[in-house]
Amino acid sequence: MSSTITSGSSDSGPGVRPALRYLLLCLFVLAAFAASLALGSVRLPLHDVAALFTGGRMQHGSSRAILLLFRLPKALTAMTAGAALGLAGLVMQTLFRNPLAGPFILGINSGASLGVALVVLASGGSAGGVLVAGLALSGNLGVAAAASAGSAAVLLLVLAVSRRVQSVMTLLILGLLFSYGVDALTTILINFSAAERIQTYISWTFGSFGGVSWPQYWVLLAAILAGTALTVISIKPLNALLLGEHYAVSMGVSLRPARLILILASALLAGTVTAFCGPIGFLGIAMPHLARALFRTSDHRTLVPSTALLGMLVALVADLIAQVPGSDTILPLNAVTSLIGAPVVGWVILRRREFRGAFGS
Amino acid sequence: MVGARAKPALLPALFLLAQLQLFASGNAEQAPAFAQDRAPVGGGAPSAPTARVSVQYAKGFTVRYFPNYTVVTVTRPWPGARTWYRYVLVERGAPVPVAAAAAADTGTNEPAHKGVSIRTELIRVPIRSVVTMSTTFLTPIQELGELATLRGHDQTRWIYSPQVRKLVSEGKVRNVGNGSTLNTELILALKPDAMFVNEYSGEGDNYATVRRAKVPVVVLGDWDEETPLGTAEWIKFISLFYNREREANSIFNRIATEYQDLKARAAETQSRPTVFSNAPYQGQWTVPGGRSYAAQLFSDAGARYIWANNDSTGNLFLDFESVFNRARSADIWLNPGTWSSLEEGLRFDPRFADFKAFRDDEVFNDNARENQFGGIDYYESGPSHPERVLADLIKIFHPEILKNHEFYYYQRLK
Repeated sequence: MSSTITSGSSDSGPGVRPALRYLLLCLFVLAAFAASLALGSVRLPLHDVAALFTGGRMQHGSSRAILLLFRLPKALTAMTAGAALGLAGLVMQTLFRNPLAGPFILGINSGASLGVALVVLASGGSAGGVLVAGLALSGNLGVAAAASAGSAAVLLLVLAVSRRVQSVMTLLILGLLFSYGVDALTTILINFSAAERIQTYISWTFGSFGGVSWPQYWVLLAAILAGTALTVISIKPLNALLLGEHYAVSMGVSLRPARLILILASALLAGTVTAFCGPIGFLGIAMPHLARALFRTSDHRTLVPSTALLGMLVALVADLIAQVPGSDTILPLNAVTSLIGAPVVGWVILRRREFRGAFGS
Repeated sequence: MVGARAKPALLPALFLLAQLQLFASGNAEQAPAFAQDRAPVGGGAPSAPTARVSVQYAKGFTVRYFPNYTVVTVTRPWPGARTWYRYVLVERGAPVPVAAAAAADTGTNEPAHKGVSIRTELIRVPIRSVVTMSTTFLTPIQELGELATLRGHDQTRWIYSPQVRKLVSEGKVRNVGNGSTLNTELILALKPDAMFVNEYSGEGDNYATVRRAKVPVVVLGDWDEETPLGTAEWIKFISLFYNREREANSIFNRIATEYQDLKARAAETQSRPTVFSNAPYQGQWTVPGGRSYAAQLFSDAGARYIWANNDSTGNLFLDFESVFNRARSADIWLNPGTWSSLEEGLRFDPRFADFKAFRDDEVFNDNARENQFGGIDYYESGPSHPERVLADLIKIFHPEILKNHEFYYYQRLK
């Protein structure tokens, strides 16, 4: 319990300067953003992609519609969701001082899943779809609203409990218990549902950035900005929490309000993303570790922006891979984030062993 | 989930090898070995049904008649199946063919040609009680006049047919499952003469427990037919279990004639409107393949399906963007999920407004006949009545041909 916060400048040694790292990271994000606009199942001339920004004429009839209605909202959703999940994971890891914590540790994910299961599985529909395979689909907005309601309900429960509970460990365990309880309800719902409905529910659990249209994107963005703002104003308490709750109190951080704000921030960030994109795993747990390893610090002044940038980058790249550019099929996003992302992050973390110090244990 | 059901018990049947040798050289068309059996002496055999069925369109089953019994084999219970299901239908009171009895008793897997194994089951006909696992079986049973034999159904809440719903509310038809879990005890208590089911793959045996309790499980491949008339022809398969071949022939002949007439009229038209179907979910759009059942209906109704050049008989899982690119200027949009109005569609995704068919109010859904419980008739009786589906589609694509036809399954979304 006696480690200190290692700041970026003092520990970075002969490596690349932090400013340069930020610059590189931003360039990568920009490149991935450009790539996700340029690549997709429909081949568009690069000239048309450039014309979107220069205002020139497009050669292809559908180019403008495809870029404006599909690729731009999807790329922006990927960036927004990636940053949000990374930040939510960072907040939870610090709050619980647990490297295995992620954005969904308090059951927000389970609440969202239950909400979606209620909408998708329990509503009316057909059995035995032998004819034209009309998957019984539920509206995107309905699903998003249900997921938000579900995660909000679980969040309220957690917040109510957290006002009474002293130890974060108790809170962590209670969060896990909530998850199990809520997941059990979802399982019961699935058990009583028609096969096509279950298929729809399962495809929601695959995760996707492609289902978000402009009106939904603005809702998503507003919620994520609010959650990010809550995280940014908590940078000081976050750094203090890293050294233990007693130390934080001695630093003048009042624990309960700080804890409430952090839980709220993480719920806003992760809950909204889950509502619109499905339960996207891996990014939330891994991005903070990647940021600590690459920036060699546990200072949240560095970790907050770098985790957000890394989240954007990895989400964009994962979505690009899930698109299988050149084909018109798509892979489950969740499978791609984990399959491609896990080895990369594992490699980075193994190379930077000193990250262990980040949790003060 | 489906996987939660019992795994199959592998039945070693080495002691049967002597008899199995007889099957080993057989092929689909050849008579099963016990066809050569002489019936045991004694026992007054009732007269065999006078009408016989012959299969014209269906690719998934074969029928062979023998004195006192009929052998029907399901050769395509699911895509790429390596298991065939053979049912030896013996008249009540008639002597049982010896080898068939032995094979059925042990539920053996006979090694047949090219690695296909055959599961044989002996069933006394006409059956007097039945449990059904798919709503698509209800229409043929009802039209053959055999609803009185229905004892149980899986997920009775989705049933559309008012007659069957009445039987359910009277307690004459019991709910035997909820789609993922089977109420095995209830089924055993009902002790039906046969249970009609669909299997979607050879992974696991969902009905192992029921089979062990000697309830004959009949696996139908109606859903895996590639043509609409092929699917409808499974009424003949079902009729064999009731000695209702005559009724089945007359019902199916009427359907086939009407279908072919309608198809011929649609073929005479000059214009070929372009059509696409279904709706996206989470950025993914599932569309029927170019060789699918749905694609055939579109083409028979005189439309140009925008994936007609595709070779798949199943579904294609496409990116929203790529469907948009191909379908945005298409004339007609069919089956856009659950919405019942255009405005409801826009609430799901405002991008739908960029489709020509949407702007022109040329969006049609198959849920015109939906009861308050969410049961949609199109999925229940539609497979048995492709001529109604075709008439609806022709009215959509070529309203000038069928001026007097009222939509049956379809409705134009407003």
